[in-house]
Amino acid sequence: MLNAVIGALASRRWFDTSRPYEKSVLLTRGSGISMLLTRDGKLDTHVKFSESSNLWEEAERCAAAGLAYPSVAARFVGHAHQDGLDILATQAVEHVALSPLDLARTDLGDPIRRGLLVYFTAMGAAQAPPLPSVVANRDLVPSLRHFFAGLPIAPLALNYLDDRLHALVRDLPDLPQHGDFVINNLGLGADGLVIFDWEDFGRLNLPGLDLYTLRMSAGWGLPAALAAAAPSQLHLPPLVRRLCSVLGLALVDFEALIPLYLLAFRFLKRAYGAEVRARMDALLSTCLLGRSAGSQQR
Amino acid sequence: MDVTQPYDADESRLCLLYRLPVTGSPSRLLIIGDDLAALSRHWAGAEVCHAASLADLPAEQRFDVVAIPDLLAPDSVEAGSLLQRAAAALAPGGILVGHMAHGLALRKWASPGGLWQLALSICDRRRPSRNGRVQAMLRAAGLREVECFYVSPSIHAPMALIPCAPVAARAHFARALSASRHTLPWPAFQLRRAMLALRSGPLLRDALFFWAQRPC
Repeated sequence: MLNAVIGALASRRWFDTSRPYEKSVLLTRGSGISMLLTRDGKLDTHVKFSESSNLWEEAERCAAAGLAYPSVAARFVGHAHQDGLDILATQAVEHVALSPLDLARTDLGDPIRRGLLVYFTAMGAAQAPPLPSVVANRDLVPSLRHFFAGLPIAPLALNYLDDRLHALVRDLPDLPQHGDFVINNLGLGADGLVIFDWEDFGRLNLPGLDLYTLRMSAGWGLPAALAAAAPSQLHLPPLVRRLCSVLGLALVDFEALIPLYLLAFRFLKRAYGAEVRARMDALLSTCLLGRSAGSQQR
Repeated sequence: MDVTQPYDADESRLCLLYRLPVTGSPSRLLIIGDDLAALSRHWAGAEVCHAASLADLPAEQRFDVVAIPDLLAPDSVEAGSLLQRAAAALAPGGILVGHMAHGLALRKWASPGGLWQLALSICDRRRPSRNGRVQAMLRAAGLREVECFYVSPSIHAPMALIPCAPVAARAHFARALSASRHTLPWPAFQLRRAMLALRSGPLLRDALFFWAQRPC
């Protein structure tokens, strides 16, 4: 299997196998396998391959992300199908993993925050990959209704996904979202912020979704926001306020859309393992129940 | 098995590791030992034979793949001859693949007699305790394209194969340490930092995974 992958890279001149190199194999609990190719320990190429999944869509998304965000997305190298394997190669970037503490710094000039500003600013001009699975905002609420109708949390979800919400969301501008903009997918490289894992890029176009997933993964005020019967902007840290402004998203709308962001995130993660799906459903129930109680009180 | 998550189970990922060095679909597979019975289910279309030990090898038969899960002991002085017998069962171009405990793993030191075994491992070149010796023994068995990796975090729940080349292994360890700097307890993080500085990160690896090919 590995020789077939390396042969595919070499024959397409994506990776020079005539010079010494090392390989690491990284397994996931899903269907993909990753290989990191290094030279003297320095990262060179990241290769994802699978014998059961087609990586063509993911390749399209990686290529589109590389074009839309050249300063923060790893360079797309290529996609191939050979010997029963689907192979996706991208540049591997040396980086330091980020933590919530890194994001909590107040200096807006530091490279992480600068990179976040670059990303959210460029979002307005970014093009989603031309794929049939892209969900425009005008179709988002109907798509989510259809998806959640078959899940145990359907009563709560469908109650929230009403016509009033549809009317609000369909008129929002379509901004292609990364779709998994969590802190684990961010790193600090030599040239600044690096964003990884673009496999859901452009699938959804809901403004604020990436900002919310970043906020959620960084743990900024999440329990308070979930429990809030009446959404309050008071929980928002300064960076989130700044990025909302960059997106042209009113703070009150950003807070009001939290249940929708969670529903959209759950929709994107529908292929995750049963345990993760159950955890997310429990989180969603808490959120939707809190919002429902808040509405009744008002 | 969930077909959308084929590697969800730890055993499925271990079986996947055994298929990594093999290109195409082998027609004949030999599994020696019964430590990884599930492996036979992961070779669709292949004729799978089992042997309880190398002494029970089917005579005169040759295989495209010979798998030796946990067959070699790091303190075994017979490892070299065992590998030669396993290699002899390969058809030309066939692959020998297996895993074994890492004889220098830090965890072993604390076991009863662990330090004594460690001393033997270091002094006696017949014992395949470390990656360099395993590779040398595979070459001595007439095999080529020899590769050896550390397994992380454990052979029973594998998530990564790490190259044994010192510079690459150290770089991998440094990256993993950086990624876990906010999740590891402070003492564990500092211990690993010290091990990184002393270039002793591989001592944290409990298992070696290796493969090699019989020349055509």
